[in-house]
Amino acid sequence: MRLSKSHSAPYIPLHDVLFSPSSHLSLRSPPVPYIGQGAQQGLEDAGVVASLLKIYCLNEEGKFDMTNFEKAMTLYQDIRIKRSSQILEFSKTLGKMQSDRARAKDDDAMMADNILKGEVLMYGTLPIMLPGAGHDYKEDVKVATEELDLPHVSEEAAIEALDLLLGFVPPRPPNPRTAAVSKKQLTFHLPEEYSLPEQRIQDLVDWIVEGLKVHLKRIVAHNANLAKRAALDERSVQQSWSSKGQPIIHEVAEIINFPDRKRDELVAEQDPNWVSLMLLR
Amino acid sequence: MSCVFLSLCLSIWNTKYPNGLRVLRDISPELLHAVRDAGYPYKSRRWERHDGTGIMNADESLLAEDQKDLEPIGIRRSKLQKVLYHYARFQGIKVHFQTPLANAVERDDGLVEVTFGDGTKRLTKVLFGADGALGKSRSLVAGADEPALKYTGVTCLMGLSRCRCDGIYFPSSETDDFHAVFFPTGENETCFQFHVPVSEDQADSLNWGNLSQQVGQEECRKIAETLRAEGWHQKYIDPLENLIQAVRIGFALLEPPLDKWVKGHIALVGDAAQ
Repeated sequence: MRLSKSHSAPYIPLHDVLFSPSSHLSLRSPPVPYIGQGAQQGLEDAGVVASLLKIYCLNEEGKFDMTNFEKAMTLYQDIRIKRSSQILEFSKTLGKMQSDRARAKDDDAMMADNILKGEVLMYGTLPIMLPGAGHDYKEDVKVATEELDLPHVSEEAAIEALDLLLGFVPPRPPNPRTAAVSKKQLTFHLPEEYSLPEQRIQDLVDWIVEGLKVHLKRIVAHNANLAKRAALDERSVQQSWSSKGQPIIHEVAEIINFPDRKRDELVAEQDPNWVSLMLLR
Repeated sequence: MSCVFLSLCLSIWNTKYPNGLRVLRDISPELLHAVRDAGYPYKSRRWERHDGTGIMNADESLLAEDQKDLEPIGIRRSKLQKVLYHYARFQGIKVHFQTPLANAVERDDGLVEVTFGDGTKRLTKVLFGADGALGKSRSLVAGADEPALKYTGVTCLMGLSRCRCDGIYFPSSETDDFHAVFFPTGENETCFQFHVPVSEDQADSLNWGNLSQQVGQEECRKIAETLRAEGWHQKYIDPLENLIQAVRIGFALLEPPLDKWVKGHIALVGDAAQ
Protein backbone atom coordinates (compact mmCIF):
# COMPACT_ATOMS: atom_id res chain seq x y z
CA MET A 1 0.00 0.00 0.00
CA ARG A 2 2.94 2.33 -0.48
CA LEU A 3 2.15 5.62 -2.21
CA SER A 4 4.03 6.22 -5.37
CA LYS A 5 5.23 9.72 -4.56
CA SER A 6 8.19 10.32 -2.33
CA HIS A 7 8.91 13.10 0.11
CA SER A 8 11.88 15.37 0.11
CA ALA A 9 14.65 14.94 2.69
CA PRO A 10 14.96 14.47 5.58
CA TYR A 11 11.92 12.27 5.23
CA ILE A 12 12.07 8.88 3.64
CA PRO A 13 9.07 8.06 1.39
CA LEU A 14 5.57 8.61 2.64
CA HIS A 15 3.80 5.47 3.77
CA ASP A 16 0.17 4.61 4.12
CA VAL A 17 0.82 2.49 7.16
CA LEU A 18 3.77 2.04 9.49
CA PHE A 19 3.79 -0.86 11.86
CA SER A 20 6.11 -0.46 14.81
CA PRO A 21 6.39 -3.71 16.75
CA SER A 22 8.74 -4.64 19.52
CA SER A 23 10.00 -8.16 19.67
CA HIS A 24 11.91 -7.64 22.87
CA LEU A 25 10.79 -9.50 25.92
CA SER A 26 9.25 -7.20 28.49
CA LEU A 27 10.65 -7.39 31.97
CA ARG A 28 7.12 -6.89 33.16
CA SER A 29 5.04 -9.02 30.91
CA PRO A 30 1.31 -8.43 30.47
CA PRO A 31 -1.15 -9.96 30.24
CA VAL A 32 -1.05 -12.75 32.80
CA PRO A 33 -0.19 -15.84 30.72
CA TYR A 34 -2.08 -18.71 32.34
CA ILE A 35 -4.45 -19.21 29.44
CA GLY A 36 -1.80 -18.92 26.71
CA GLN A 37 -3.63 -16.08 25.02
CA GLY A 38 -1.12 -13.23 25.08
CA ALA A 39 0.24 -13.71 21.58
CA GLN A 40 -3.15 -14.83 20.27
CA GLN A 41 -4.75 -11.59 21.37
CA GLY A 42 -2.10 -9.65 19.46
CA LEU A 43 -2.84 -11.74 16.38
CA GLU A 44 -6.58 -11.21 16.82
CA ASP A 45 -5.89 -7.46 17.04
CA ALA A 46 -4.12 -7.69 13.70
CA GLY A 47 -6.85 -9.84 12.15
CA VAL A 48 -9.64 -7.51 13.25
CA VAL A 49 -7.90 -4.30 12.26
CA ALA A 50 -6.89 -5.70 8.86
CA SER A 51 -10.45 -6.88 8.20
CA LEU A 52 -11.95 -3.53 9.15
CA LEU A 53 -9.45 -1.59 7.04
CA LYS A 54 -10.29 -3.85 4.13
CA ILE A 55 -14.02 -3.17 4.58
CA TYR A 56 -13.87 0.56 5.28
CA CYS A 57 -10.60 1.89 3.93
CA LEU A 58 -10.07 0.35 0.51
CA ASN A 59 -11.68 2.21 -2.36
CA GLU A 60 -13.08 0.59 -5.49
CA GLU A 61 -9.63 0.51 -7.04
CA GLY A 62 -8.18 -1.23 -4.01
CA LYS A 63 -6.30 1.90 -2.89
CA PHE A 64 -6.02 2.91 0.75
CA ASP A 65 -8.67 5.58 1.49
CA MET A 66 -8.85 7.39 4.83
CA THR A 67 -12.46 8.59 4.48
CA ASN A 68 -13.90 5.97 6.81
CA PHE A 69 -10.78 5.40 8.89
CA GLU A 70 -12.35 6.78 12.06
CA LYS A 71 -15.32 4.42 11.72
CA ALA A 72 -12.98 1.45 11.24
CA MET A 73 -10.87 2.40 14.25
CA THR A 74 -13.88 2.98 16.49
CA LEU A 75 -15.11 -0.51 15.69
CA TYR A 76 -11.61 -1.94 16.17
CA GLN A 77 -11.36 -0.37 19.60
CA ASP A 78 -14.86 -1.47 20.63
CA ILE A 79 -14.34 -5.06 19.48
CA ARG A 80 -10.90 -5.56 20.87
CA ILE A 81 -11.20 -3.88 24.27
CA LYS A 82 -14.26 -5.98 25.03
CA ARG A 83 -12.65 -9.20 23.82
CA SER A 84 -9.23 -8.75 25.45
CA SER A 85 -10.81 -7.74 28.77
CA GLN A 86 -12.85 -10.92 28.70
CA ILE A 87 -9.81 -13.09 27.98
CA LEU A 88 -7.86 -11.37 30.74
CA GLU A 89 -10.56 -12.31 33.25
CA PHE A 90 -10.48 -15.92 32.03
CA SER A 91 -6.71 -15.92 32.42
CA LYS A 92 -6.95 -14.64 35.98
CA THR A 93 -9.52 -17.34 36.77
CA LEU A 94 -7.32 -20.08 35.36
CA GLY A 95 -4.31 -18.67 37.20
CA LYS A 96 -6.27 -18.84 40.45
CA MET A 97 -7.21 -22.44 39.73
CA GLN A 98 -3.56 -23.34 39.16
CA SER A 99 -2.62 -21.45 42.29
CA ASP A 100 -5.33 -23.20 44.32
CA ARG A 101 -4.05 -26.56 43.13
CA ALA A 102 -0.67 -25.70 44.62
CA ARG A 103 -2.04 -24.73 48.02
CA ALA A 104 -1.13 -27.95 49.74
CA LYS A 105 -1.77 -26.79 53.26
CA ASP A 106 -5.55 -26.61 52.96
CA ASP A 107 -8.34 -28.47 51.23
CA ASP A 108 -8.46 -26.02 48.32
CA ALA A 109 -5.85 -28.01 46.40
CA MET A 110 -7.90 -31.20 46.51
CA MET A 111 -11.03 -29.24 45.66
CA ALA A 112 -9.34 -27.49 42.73
CA ASP A 113 -8.11 -30.81 41.34
CA ASN A 114 -11.59 -32.29 41.68
CA ILE A 115 -13.20 -29.33 39.92
CA LEU A 116 -10.63 -29.58 37.16
CA LYS A 117 -11.24 -33.32 36.81
CA GLY A 118 -15.00 -32.87 36.63
CA GLU A 119 -14.78 -30.14 34.04
CA VAL A 120 -12.44 -32.09 31.78
CA LEU A 121 -14.66 -35.17 32.14
CA MET A 122 -17.69 -33.14 31.10
CA TYR A 123 -16.20 -31.09 28.28
CA GLY A 124 -13.17 -33.09 27.14
CA THR A 125 -10.90 -30.19 28.09
CA LEU A 126 -11.03 -27.23 30.44
CA PRO A 127 -14.04 -25.28 29.15
CA ILE A 128 -12.45 -21.99 30.14
CA MET A 129 -9.98 -22.58 27.30
CA LEU A 130 -12.67 -22.65 24.65
CA PRO A 131 -13.77 -19.00 24.43
CA GLY A 132 -10.13 -18.10 23.88
CA ALA A 133 -8.78 -20.86 21.64
CA GLY A 134 -12.02 -21.59 19.80
CA HIS A 135 -12.73 -18.01 18.84
CA ASP A 136 -12.87 -16.74 15.28
CA TYR A 137 -12.07 -13.02 15.07
CA LYS A 138 -13.98 -12.80 11.80
CA GLU A 139 -17.22 -13.39 13.72
CA ASP A 140 -16.51 -10.24 15.76
CA VAL A 141 -16.04 -8.27 12.57
CA LYS A 142 -19.18 -9.77 11.09
CA VAL A 143 -21.30 -8.86 14.10
CA ALA A 144 -19.87 -5.34 14.31
CA THR A 145 -20.57 -4.72 10.65
CA GLU A 146 -23.77 -6.70 10.53
CA GLU A 147 -25.71 -3.96 8.83
CA LEU A 148 -23.67 -4.94 5.81
CA ASP A 149 -24.55 -8.61 6.00
CA LEU A 150 -27.56 -9.36 8.18
CA PRO A 151 -28.54 -13.00 8.36
CA HIS A 152 -31.97 -13.56 6.87
CA VAL A 153 -34.86 -13.54 9.33
CA SER A 154 -38.27 -14.22 7.89
CA GLU A 155 -41.11 -11.72 8.09
CA GLU A 156 -43.12 -14.25 10.01
CA ALA A 157 -40.42 -14.76 12.59
CA ALA A 158 -40.05 -11.01 13.10
CA ILE A 159 -43.79 -10.57 13.59
CA GLU A 160 -43.89 -13.51 15.96
CA ALA A 161 -41.08 -11.88 17.93
CA LEU A 162 -43.04 -8.64 18.04
CA ASP A 163 -46.01 -10.42 19.58
CA LEU A 164 -43.84 -12.16 22.13
CA LEU A 165 -41.87 -9.04 22.93
CA LEU A 166 -44.96 -7.01 23.65
CA GLY A 167 -46.57 -9.83 25.58
CA PHE A 168 -49.78 -9.79 23.58
CA VAL A 169 -49.88 -13.46 22.75
CA PRO A 170 -48.43 -16.56 24.38
CA PRO A 171 -45.57 -18.40 22.62
CA ARG A 172 -46.87 -20.55 19.82
CA PRO A 173 -45.74 -21.88 16.46
CA PRO A 174 -45.54 -19.25 13.70
CA ASN A 175 -48.94 -18.36 12.31
CA PRO A 176 -49.49 -16.67 8.95
CA ARG A 177 -52.29 -14.58 10.45
CA THR A 178 -50.08 -13.16 13.20
CA ALA A 179 -49.57 -9.82 11.45
CA ALA A 180 -53.23 -8.95 11.36
CA VAL A 181 -53.70 -10.12 14.93
CA SER A 182 -50.74 -8.03 16.12
CA LYS A 183 -51.92 -4.81 14.59
CA LYS A 184 -55.41 -5.27 15.94
CA GLN A 185 -54.16 -5.97 19.43
CA LEU A 186 -51.65 -3.15 19.33
CA THR A 187 -54.35 -0.67 18.33
CA PHE A 188 -56.49 -1.92 21.14
CA HIS A 189 -53.70 -1.44 23.66
CA LEU A 190 -52.81 2.13 22.76
CA PRO A 191 -53.38 4.41 25.74
CA GLU A 192 -56.74 6.18 25.85
CA GLU A 193 -55.12 9.63 25.93
CA TYR A 194 -54.15 9.02 22.32
CA SER A 195 -57.19 10.84 21.00
CA LEU A 196 -56.11 10.82 17.37
CA PRO A 197 -58.29 10.18 14.35
CA GLU A 198 -58.74 6.51 13.58
CA GLN A 199 -56.67 6.67 10.38
CA ARG A 200 -53.81 8.47 12.18
CA ILE A 201 -53.76 5.76 14.81
CA GLN A 202 -53.77 3.07 12.15
CA ASP A 203 -50.94 4.81 10.30
CA LEU A 204 -49.05 5.12 13.54
CA VAL A 205 -49.52 1.44 14.30
CA ASP A 206 -48.41 0.48 10.81
CA TRP A 207 -45.31 2.62 11.25
CA ILE A 208 -44.55 1.10 14.64
CA VAL A 209 -45.00 -2.44 13.39
CA GLU A 210 -42.77 -1.89 10.37
CA GLY A 211 -40.12 -0.20 12.50
CA LEU A 212 -40.21 -2.92 15.09
CA LYS A 213 -39.86 -5.62 12.51
CA VAL A 214 -36.60 -4.06 11.35
CA HIS A 215 -35.32 -3.78 14.92
CA LEU A 216 -36.39 -7.27 15.78
CA LYS A 217 -34.68 -8.72 12.77
CA ARG A 218 -31.50 -7.15 14.03
CA ILE A 219 -32.01 -8.50 17.54
CA VAL A 220 -32.67 -11.98 16.25
CA ALA A 221 -29.71 -11.86 13.87
CA HIS A 222 -27.41 -10.50 16.54
CA ASN A 223 -28.43 -13.09 19.08
CA ALA A 224 -28.22 -15.89 16.57
CA ASN A 225 -24.61 -14.90 15.92
CA LEU A 226 -23.87 -14.71 19.62
CA ALA A 227 -25.48 -18.06 20.29
CA LYS A 228 -23.32 -19.65 17.64
CA ARG A 229 -20.18 -18.04 18.93
CA ALA A 230 -20.27 -18.48 22.66
CA ALA A 231 -22.55 -21.00 24.25
CA LEU A 232 -20.26 -21.14 27.26
CA ASP A 233 -19.81 -17.45 27.60
CA GLU A 234 -22.31 -15.83 29.92
CA ARG A 235 -20.96 -12.37 29.28
CA SER A 236 -21.91 -12.46 25.64
CA VAL A 237 -25.50 -13.15 26.65
CA GLN A 238 -25.34 -10.18 28.98
CA GLN A 239 -23.92 -8.12 26.17
CA SER A 240 -26.79 -9.04 23.91
CA TRP A 241 -29.24 -8.04 26.60
CA SER A 242 -27.57 -4.80 27.57
CA SER A 243 -26.30 -3.61 24.22
CA LYS A 244 -29.17 -4.65 21.99
CA GLY A 245 -32.22 -5.93 23.79
CA GLN A 246 -32.81 -3.46 26.57
CA PRO A 247 -32.43 -0.23 24.57
CA ILE A 248 -34.69 -1.63 21.89
CA ILE A 249 -37.39 -2.41 24.45
CA HIS A 250 -37.10 1.09 25.90
CA GLU A 251 -37.37 2.44 22.41
CA VAL A 252 -40.43 0.35 21.71
CA ALA A 253 -42.04 1.41 24.96
CA GLU A 254 -41.37 5.05 24.29
CA ILE A 255 -42.78 4.88 20.78
CA ILE A 256 -46.10 3.48 21.94
CA ASN A 257 -46.04 5.68 25.03
CA PHE A 258 -46.44 3.12 27.75
CA PRO A 259 -46.77 4.56 31.26
CA ASP A 260 -43.48 4.14 33.16
CA ARG A 261 -44.80 1.40 35.42
CA LYS A 262 -45.93 -0.65 32.48
CA ARG A 263 -42.65 -0.11 30.69
CA ASP A 264 -40.67 -1.38 33.68
CA GLU A 265 -42.81 -4.49 33.79
CA LEU A 266 -42.21 -5.02 30.11
CA VAL A 267 -38.47 -4.74 30.46
CA ALA A 268 -38.42 -7.06 33.46
CA GLU A 269 -40.62 -9.73 31.99
CA GLN A 270 -39.63 -9.90 28.34
CA ASP A 271 -36.15 -11.03 27.47
CA PRO A 272 -35.28 -10.71 23.78
CA ASN A 273 -32.82 -13.55 24.13
CA TRP A 274 -35.68 -15.76 25.11
CA VAL A 275 -37.66 -14.44 22.18
CA SER A 276 -34.81 -15.28 19.88
CA LEU A 277 -34.50 -18.76 21.28
CA MET A 278 -38.19 -19.30 20.68
CA LEU A 279 -37.75 -18.19 17.10
CA LEU A 280 -34.71 -20.32 16.51
CA ARG A 281 -36.35 -23.52 17.74
CA MET B 1 1.25 -2.21 5.02
CA SER B 2 4.47 -0.90 3.66
CA CYS B 3 6.97 -0.87 6.46
CA VAL B 4 7.77 -2.63 9.73
CA PHE B 5 10.20 -1.43 12.39
CA LEU B 6 11.66 -3.88 14.87
CA SER B 7 13.69 -2.81 17.86
CA LEU B 8 15.51 -5.76 19.39
CA CYS B 9 15.27 -9.50 19.09
CA LEU B 10 15.56 -11.68 22.17
CA SER B 11 13.89 -15.01 22.09
CA ILE B 12 12.49 -17.72 24.26
CA TRP B 13 9.19 -19.33 23.33
CA ASN B 14 5.74 -18.74 22.07
CA THR B 15 2.48 -20.60 22.11
CA LYS B 16 0.08 -20.67 19.21
CA TYR B 17 -3.53 -21.59 19.82
CA PRO B 18 -6.21 -22.04 17.16
CA ASN B 19 -7.57 -18.49 17.39
CA GLY B 20 -4.12 -17.07 16.69
CA LEU B 21 -3.23 -19.67 14.07
CA ARG B 22 -6.50 -18.84 12.31
CA VAL B 23 -5.24 -15.30 11.72
CA LEU B 24 -2.04 -16.64 10.17
CA ARG B 25 -4.06 -19.02 7.98
CA ASP B 26 -6.20 -16.12 6.78
CA ILE B 27 -3.07 -14.19 5.85
CA SER B 28 -1.80 -17.19 3.93
CA PRO B 29 -2.12 -20.99 4.33
CA GLU B 30 1.55 -21.18 3.34
CA LEU B 31 2.48 -18.87 6.21
CA LEU B 32 0.56 -21.06 8.64
CA HIS B 33 2.32 -24.18 7.34
CA ALA B 34 5.69 -22.51 7.67
CA VAL B 35 4.93 -21.55 11.28
CA ARG B 36 3.67 -25.04 12.07
CA ASP B 37 6.77 -26.58 10.53
CA ALA B 38 8.94 -24.40 12.77
CA GLY B 39 6.98 -25.37 15.89
CA TYR B 40 5.89 -28.56 17.57
CA PRO B 41 2.36 -29.85 18.29
CA TYR B 42 1.13 -30.23 21.87
CA LYS B 43 -1.00 -33.32 21.10
CA SER B 44 -2.28 -33.62 24.66
CA ARG B 45 -2.85 -31.51 27.77
CA ARG B 46 -2.14 -33.15 31.07
CA TRP B 47 -2.61 -32.01 34.65
CA GLU B 48 -0.49 -33.81 37.22
CA ARG B 49 0.64 -33.67 40.79
CA HIS B 50 4.30 -32.95 41.42
CA ASP B 51 5.25 -36.64 41.53
CA GLY B 52 3.81 -37.36 38.10
CA THR B 53 0.50 -38.72 39.36
CA GLY B 54 -2.04 -37.98 36.65
CA ILE B 55 -5.19 -35.98 37.36
CA MET B 56 -6.69 -35.55 33.91
CA ASN B 57 -5.70 -35.74 30.27
CA ALA B 58 -7.32 -33.70 27.49
CA ASP B 59 -7.12 -34.04 23.73
CA GLU B 60 -5.79 -30.84 22.13
CA SER B 61 -7.76 -31.42 18.94
CA LEU B 62 -10.87 -30.31 20.85
CA LEU B 63 -9.51 -26.78 20.99
CA ALA B 64 -9.12 -26.75 17.22
CA GLU B 65 -12.56 -28.19 16.51
CA ASP B 66 -10.90 -31.01 14.56
CA GLN B 67 -9.08 -28.68 12.17
CA LYS B 68 -5.65 -30.29 12.13
CA ASP B 69 -3.86 -27.19 10.88
CA LEU B 70 -5.14 -25.18 13.85
CA GLU B 71 -4.09 -27.57 16.62
CA PRO B 72 -1.96 -25.86 19.28
CA ILE B 73 1.80 -25.73 18.89
CA GLY B 74 4.75 -24.47 20.87
CA ILE B 75 7.41 -22.55 18.97
CA ARG B 76 10.62 -20.74 19.77
CA ARG B 77 10.02 -17.03 19.43
CA SER B 78 13.14 -16.63 17.31
CA LYS B 79 11.88 -19.26 14.86
CA LEU B 80 8.50 -17.57 14.67
CA GLN B 81 10.17 -14.24 14.03
CA LYS B 82 12.28 -15.73 11.24
CA VAL B 83 9.24 -17.19 9.51
CA LEU B 84 7.32 -13.92 9.80
CA TYR B 85 10.33 -11.93 8.65
CA HIS B 86 10.88 -14.03 5.54
CA TYR B 87 7.19 -13.94 4.71
CA ALA B 88 7.12 -10.15 5.05
CA ARG B 89 10.19 -9.83 2.83
CA PHE B 90 8.60 -12.16 0.29
CA GLN B 91 5.57 -9.84 0.24
CA GLY B 92 7.79 -6.85 -0.43
CA ILE B 93 7.39 -5.38 3.06
CA LYS B 94 10.51 -3.66 4.28
CA VAL B 95 11.61 -4.55 7.79
CA HIS B 96 13.99 -2.26 9.69
CA PHE B 97 15.78 -3.51 12.80
CA GLN B 98 17.08 -1.63 15.83
CA THR B 99 14.62 1.23 15.31
CA PRO B 100 12.53 1.74 18.46
CA LEU B 101 9.78 4.31 18.27
CA ALA B 102 10.85 7.53 19.99
CA ASN B 103 7.96 9.86 19.20
CA ALA B 104 5.09 10.48 16.82
CA VAL B 105 3.19 13.69 16.18
CA GLU B 106 0.03 14.09 14.14
CA ARG B 107 0.38 17.11 11.88
CA ASP B 108 -2.27 19.54 10.70
CA ASP B 109 -2.36 17.84 7.30
CA GLY B 110 -3.36 14.55 8.95
CA LEU B 111 -0.05 12.81 8.42
CA VAL B 112 1.83 11.34 11.35
CA GLU B 113 5.46 12.35 11.71
CA VAL B 114 7.30 9.44 13.30
CA THR B 115 10.70 9.76 14.94
CA PHE B 116 12.80 6.70 15.69
CA GLY B 117 15.50 6.11 18.23
CA ASP B 118 18.27 6.67 15.71
CA GLY B 119 16.89 10.13 14.89
CA THR B 120 15.43 9.24 11.51
CA LYS B 121 11.94 10.48 10.68
CA ARG B 122 9.15 9.12 8.56
CA LEU B 123 5.76 10.34 7.45
CA THR B 124 2.81 8.02 7.39
CA LYS B 125 -0.96 8.18 7.12
CA VAL B 126 -1.38 5.64 9.92
CA LEU B 127 0.93 4.37 12.64
CA PHE B 128 0.21 1.06 14.35
CA GLY B 129 2.11 0.92 17.60
CA ALA B 130 2.85 -2.67 18.53
CA ASP B 131 5.93 -1.90 20.55
CA GLY B 132 5.02 -3.97 23.57
CA ALA B 133 4.32 -3.31 27.20
CA LEU B 134 7.17 -0.88 27.66
CA GLY B 135 7.08 0.88 24.30
CA LYS B 136 6.43 4.51 23.54
CA SER B 137 3.23 4.21 21.55
CA ARG B 138 0.90 3.66 24.52
CA SER B 139 1.81 7.03 25.99
CA LEU B 140 1.16 8.65 22.62
CA VAL B 141 -2.42 7.36 22.67
CA ALA B 142 -3.16 7.56 26.40
CA GLY B 143 -1.34 10.82 27.05
CA ALA B 144 -1.52 11.96 30.65
CA ASP B 145 -4.00 9.18 31.39
CA GLU B 146 -1.48 6.44 30.68
CA PRO B 147 -2.02 3.70 33.26
CA ALA B 148 0.85 2.05 35.08
CA LEU B 149 1.92 -1.56 34.82
CA LYS B 150 1.35 -3.04 38.23
CA TYR B 151 3.17 -6.15 39.41
CA THR B 152 0.72 -9.00 40.09
CA GLY B 153 2.74 -10.67 42.86
CA VAL B 154 3.86 -13.58 40.67
CA THR B 155 7.40 -13.98 39.36
CA CYS B 156 8.14 -16.51 36.65
CA LEU B 157 11.34 -18.32 35.83
CA MET B 158 11.05 -19.60 32.30
CA GLY B 159 13.57 -21.47 30.25
CA LEU B 160 14.31 -23.56 27.22
CA SER B 161 15.91 -27.00 27.54
CA ARG B 162 17.24 -29.88 25.51
CA CYS B 163 14.62 -32.39 26.58
CA ARG B 164 11.78 -34.27 24.99
CA CYS B 165 8.23 -33.35 25.96
CA ASP B 166 5.17 -35.13 24.57
CA GLY B 167 2.48 -32.62 25.46
CA ILE B 168 1.69 -29.65 27.64
CA TYR B 169 1.92 -30.53 31.35
CA PHE B 170 0.66 -28.64 34.37
CA PRO B 171 2.20 -30.00 37.59
CA SER B 172 1.75 -28.31 40.93
CA SER B 173 3.68 -28.41 44.15
CA GLU B 174 2.44 -30.13 47.28
CA THR B 175 4.71 -28.33 49.68
CA ASP B 176 5.03 -24.81 48.27
CA ASP B 177 2.63 -22.37 46.66
CA PHE B 178 3.99 -22.58 43.14
CA HIS B 179 2.92 -24.31 39.98
CA ALA B 180 4.56 -24.95 36.63
CA VAL B 181 3.98 -25.67 32.98
CA PHE B 182 6.10 -27.67 30.54
CA PHE B 183 5.53 -27.84 26.79
CA PRO B 184 7.46 -28.81 23.66
CA THR B 185 8.85 -26.31 21.18
CA GLY B 186 10.70 -28.95 19.16
CA GLU B 187 11.38 -32.67 18.87
CA ASN B 188 13.92 -32.53 21.69
CA GLU B 189 13.20 -29.11 23.09
CA THR B 190 11.11 -28.21 26.14
CA CYS B 191 10.00 -24.87 27.47
CA PHE B 192 9.30 -24.63 31.19
CA GLN B 193 7.81 -21.96 33.41
CA PHE B 194 7.69 -21.89 37.19
CA HIS B 195 5.13 -19.46 38.57
CA VAL B 196 6.07 -18.42 42.08
CA PRO B 197 4.26 -15.98 44.41
CA VAL B 198 6.77 -13.30 45.38
CA SER B 199 5.75 -10.17 47.23
CA GLU B 200 6.59 -6.87 45.61
CA ASP B 201 9.22 -5.96 48.18
CA GLN B 202 10.95 -9.32 47.58
CA ALA B 203 10.53 -9.36 43.83
CA ASP B 204 14.06 -8.21 42.91
CA SER B 205 12.71 -6.44 39.86
CA LEU B 206 16.12 -5.00 38.97
CA ASN B 207 17.18 -8.51 37.98
CA TRP B 208 14.24 -9.32 35.75
CA GLY B 209 15.10 -10.13 32.18
CA ASN B 210 17.35 -12.52 30.28
CA LEU B 211 19.67 -14.38 32.60
CA SER B 212 23.27 -15.08 31.66
CA GLN B 213 24.11 -18.72 31.07
CA GLN B 214 25.88 -18.88 34.42
CA VAL B 215 23.13 -17.19 36.43
CA GLY B 216 20.42 -19.16 34.65
CA GLN B 217 22.10 -22.49 35.30
CA GLU B 218 22.71 -21.61 38.94
CA GLU B 219 19.10 -20.58 39.44
CA CYS B 220 17.84 -23.75 37.75
CA ARG B 221 20.22 -25.91 39.75
CA LYS B 222 18.78 -24.55 43.01
CA ILE B 223 15.24 -25.19 41.89
CA ALA B 224 16.16 -28.70 40.75
CA GLU B 225 17.61 -29.44 44.20
CA THR B 226 14.42 -28.24 45.86
CA LEU B 227 12.21 -30.27 43.53
CA ARG B 228 14.27 -33.41 44.03
CA ALA B 229 14.07 -33.04 47.81
CA GLU B 230 10.31 -32.60 47.60
CA GLY B 231 9.78 -35.73 45.50
CA TRP B 232 9.07 -34.18 42.10
CA HIS B 233 9.15 -36.55 39.16
CA GLN B 234 12.46 -36.66 37.30
CA LYS B 235 10.81 -35.54 34.04
CA TYR B 236 10.23 -32.14 35.67
CA ILE B 237 13.80 -31.93 36.90
CA ASP B 238 15.51 -32.91 33.64
CA PRO B 239 14.67 -29.63 31.83
CA LEU B 240 16.23 -27.62 34.65
CA GLU B 241 19.43 -29.61 34.31
CA ASN B 242 19.61 -29.30 30.52
CA LEU B 243 19.14 -25.58 30.17
CA ILE B 244 19.65 -23.66 26.94
CA GLN B 245 18.45 -20.25 28.07
CA ALA B 246 16.52 -18.79 31.01
CA VAL B 247 14.58 -15.63 31.72
CA ARG B 248 13.07 -14.25 34.91
CA ILE B 249 10.12 -11.91 34.65
CA GLY B 250 7.43 -10.45 36.86
CA PHE B 251 3.89 -10.55 35.57
CA ALA B 252 2.19 -7.20 35.46
CA LEU B 253 -1.14 -5.75 34.44
CA LEU B 254 -2.21 -2.33 33.28
CA GLU B 255 -4.22 -0.71 36.03
CA PRO B 256 -6.67 0.54 35.09
CA PRO B 257 -6.88 -1.04 31.63
CA LEU B 258 -6.71 1.34 28.68
CA ASP B 259 -10.13 2.61 27.68
CA LYS B 260 -8.96 3.78 24.26
CA TRP B 261 -6.59 2.19 21.82
CA VAL B 262 -6.77 4.78 19.09
CA LYS B 263 -5.95 8.46 18.94
CA GLY B 264 -6.32 10.11 15.59
CA HIS B 265 -4.17 8.16 13.19
CA ILE B 266 -2.21 6.25 15.82
CA ALA B 267 -3.56 2.86 16.95
CA LEU B 268 -2.26 0.34 19.44
CA VAL B 269 -1.94 -3.38 18.80
CA GLY B 270 -0.96 -6.27 21.07
CA ASP B 271 0.75 -5.78 24.43
CA ALA B 272 1.06 -2.05 23.80
CA ALA B 273 -2.71 -1.91 24.25
CA GLN B 274 -3.40 -4.84 26.52
